[in-house]
Amino acid sequence: MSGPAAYPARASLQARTALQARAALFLLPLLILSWNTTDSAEAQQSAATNNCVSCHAGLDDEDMSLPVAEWQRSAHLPADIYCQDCHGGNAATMVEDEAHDVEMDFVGLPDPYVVHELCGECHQAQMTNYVPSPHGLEGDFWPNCVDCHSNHEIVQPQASLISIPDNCEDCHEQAIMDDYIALTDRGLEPIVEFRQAAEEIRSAGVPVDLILTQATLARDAYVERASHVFVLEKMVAVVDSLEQVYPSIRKEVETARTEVDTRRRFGWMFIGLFLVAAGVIWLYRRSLPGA
Amino acid sequence: MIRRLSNEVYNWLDDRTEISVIIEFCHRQLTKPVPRHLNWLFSFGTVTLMFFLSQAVSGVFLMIYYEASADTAYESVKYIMEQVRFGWLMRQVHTYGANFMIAFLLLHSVRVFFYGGYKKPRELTWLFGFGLLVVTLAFGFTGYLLPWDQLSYWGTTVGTEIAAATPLIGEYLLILMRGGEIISDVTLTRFFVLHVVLLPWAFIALVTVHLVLIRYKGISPLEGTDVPEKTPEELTKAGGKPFYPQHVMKEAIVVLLVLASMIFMIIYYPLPLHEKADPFNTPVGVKPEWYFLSSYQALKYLPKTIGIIGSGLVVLAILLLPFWDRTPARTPARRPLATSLGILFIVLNIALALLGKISETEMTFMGTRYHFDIYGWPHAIGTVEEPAVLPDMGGEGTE
Ligand code: HEC
Ligand code: HEC
Ligand code: HEC
Ligand code: HEC
Ligand code: HEC
Ligand code: HEM
Repeated sequence: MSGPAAYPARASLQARTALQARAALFLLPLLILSWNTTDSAEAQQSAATNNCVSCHAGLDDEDMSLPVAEWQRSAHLPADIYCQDCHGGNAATMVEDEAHDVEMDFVGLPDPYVVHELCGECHQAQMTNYVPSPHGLEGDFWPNCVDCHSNHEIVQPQASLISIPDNCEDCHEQAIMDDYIALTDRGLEPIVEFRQAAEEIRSAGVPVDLILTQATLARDAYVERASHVFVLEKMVAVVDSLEQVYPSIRKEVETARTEVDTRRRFGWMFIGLFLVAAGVIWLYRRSLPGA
Repeated sequence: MIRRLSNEVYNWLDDRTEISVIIEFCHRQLTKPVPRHLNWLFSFGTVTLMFFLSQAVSGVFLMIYYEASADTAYESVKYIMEQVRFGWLMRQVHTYGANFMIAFLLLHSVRVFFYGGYKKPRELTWLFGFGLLVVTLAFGFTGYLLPWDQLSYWGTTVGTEIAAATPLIGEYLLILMRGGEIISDVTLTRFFVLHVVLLPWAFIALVTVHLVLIRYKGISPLEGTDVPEKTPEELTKAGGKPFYPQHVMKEAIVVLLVLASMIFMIIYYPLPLHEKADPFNTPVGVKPEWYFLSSYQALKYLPKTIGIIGSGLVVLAILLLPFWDRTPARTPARRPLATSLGILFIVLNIALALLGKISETEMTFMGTRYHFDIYGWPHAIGTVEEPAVLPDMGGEGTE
């Protein structure tokens, strides 16, 4: 485990830096040239990481190339979830037939009836709730995960998702939607509020670990028992029980806020004290003979 | 009655200790006049000294709970900030104090430079001052590692790597500093010992000589070195004020104002403790502390050995400044070359530090998104589509 070798990315950066810098000493034009090389080197490196991406990005057929752009905007790229995680195949080759090798578990387009199992490999809780829900078995897996979340541009779900006509309003009365939105708001908005407050308080230097842990516990409870259940009565029960614990978290937040205020109040007292002292000394100094 | 008693005590003591000699000496030193051109800029040295004392006090409190080992350092600092009563205050005072101290130390050196304070006969004052600069920067460098968070770990990694580029002995130097190939427990303990034992004593020794020399020679006059310096009597006649109380009060005012602004920073912008150090996870855009940023950035543009030798020569030139800049003039206006070179040097350093600050970051400017590479050079990476602002459901993800 020797220094640079243990951190290949940094080691190569250093090597590159040293090389370029040596070539470019005091020669500005050359230096600018070398900046450009940095770019192409970087581009090559990231392209080399996945062959599905590099080939599909360049395909003329919109249907075949668009998924790349959409996936690049999704929550899955930063989480290192690549094409082959959903479609299977061999990402180590640039030959189409080898890449689409069924021997390497290439599935082509995932079957809409088992998409939930595909996603459920990683999103267990959501699948568990979804399958027995009115949308799952009962609804013949319609809508399925990607009907609601889209195939590739999968982002952190927003409240707005719920009211997008494509998602719910096609099949549901506005009245049910209003109930559903009101319920999720009651369940989830306090958590958002706690987390925002915690960030604010943390930046003021007061510890908020307890608040954050409790908020995460509440969020997990919601995901586990209310999210993707799609049965209003079950959701009401969960939200009601969560509302039992929110007051205690809210109190935690208040205590932390008070601590911030106290620190600031005492801080200002000392600032005032110092300023007054400085003023007094200044006046006294002016009154000294020969000032 | 009380006066009689205290007189008696005084005489009793004096019979045994000749304390009157000391008191007499102190009195003479205190009332010794300082030249009348002393303005607010001349209090930066004292502000620096005050910060050293404050660092000593807050440092002792931190040491009560701090545990210097890779397994416990981070947790103990967290404990200090979250559990120990007023622990957060001690840590904020210590970390902010370090930054303020270095800032005022730099301002002090700049002041001394522009007033020609290093010229004959104050070359030694400059040399000891330079020693203090080195020691203080070493304080900053070693202290930065102690909390053992991601920033400090990787900041120290890149910092020590610079030393590795020294010709011939670089590798050995690196091993010596780190106590091995990588930053580890061993590095932490040796930095800790430097930080709390060796450096403080070195500082005390150096600062004593620095101050004694200043008292002995007095603050430099505005006249050139070719004019004989005034005796204390002449100074008083020329409008010089006694050191105490006039000048001391001026310094007290500055110290109070600086402390007030530090408290303001502490209550509104407390310095955070980041994630715990993770040797296997290099964060992007690792940088050293701001006061090392300009030299760190300069080294990026130069081949390693040339950069190291070059900056070594610059440091040497500053160290030996009084011995090669021997023109008699002291005030800035009367030595235009030195003044402009000084300004150029400062501007260059600020520019390099800014480049270092923006390097490896992204920024939006007039609708275009730019990535700044390691040289701080911008590359357009596309126009920005304003992300739709959607209420978030509080989702943090699932496993
Ligand atoms: C050398 C280029 C190339 C590579 C590499 C490649 N593909 Fe393809 N892929 C294509 C082409 C061309 C098509 C369209 C084929 C067609 O229409 O029959 C396609 C079609 C697909 C389809 C749609 C299949 C369908 O039935 O409509 C999927 C899904 C797919 N690729 C996934 C992948 C995955 C996952 C990888 C990496 C493991 C990958 N591809 C690697 C060129 C490539
Ligand atoms: C989170 C899982 C997931 C990931 C990651 C993923 N896909 Fe898909 N992809 C799907 C699903 C689900 C469908 C839709 C299947 C259907 O329509 O029945 C699909 C459809 C496609 C199609 C067919 C599009 C069409 O309109 O016919 C292509 C091509 C494709 N994906 C390529 C890719 C490529 C290339 C990547 C990597 C950049 C990728 N996918 C990443 C799940 C994923
Ligand atoms: C009927 C539409 C719909 C279907 C079908 C659906 N989701 Fe969701 N999903 C949502 C909504 C709405 C949210 C945000 C509100 C919430 O968290 O309950 C969400 C949230 C999520 C989240 C974020 C974490 C969370 O639970 O809040 C994940 C992950 C997720 N869904 C995965 C899936 C998977 C996997 C499936 C298939 C098994 C699926 N979803 C099926 C609508 C749907
Ligand atoms: C493709 C059509 C379809 C879409 C889209 C759809 N659902 Fe459903 N939903 C159904 C069906 C079918 C049922 C079961 C029959 C019923 O109760 O209406 C159902 C049932 C429900 C129920 C239970 C109703 C009750 O009376 O208990 C809720 C709640 C629900 N859906 C919420 C949603 C939400 C929220 C969305 C959008 C994120 C959504 N659905 C999207 C088809 C759909
Ligand atoms: C190989 C594992 C894997 C598969 C398969 C997968 N995901 Fe994900 N997904 C992740 C990871 C990892 C994240 C990012 C971490 C997180 O937020 O949970 C993520 C994030 C998400 C998010 C955003 C959650 C949030 O709170 O930000 C949604 C929604 C989502 N996935 C839906 C799906 C859907 C729908 C499918 C099936 C088409 C799917 N995922 C397939 C691993 C996977
Ligand atoms: C921690 C560090 C230091 C402390 C506490 C300190 C303290 C002081 C003080 C109190 C003075 C009196 C005048 C004034 O404040 O301006 C002074 C003067 C002086 N200092 Fe420092 N100093 C430090 C570092 C330095 C450094 C880094 C240098 C230069 C490299 C330096 C060079 C000088 C010189 C030459 C004088 C005499 C100036 C004159 O007579 O005009 N000092 N120092």
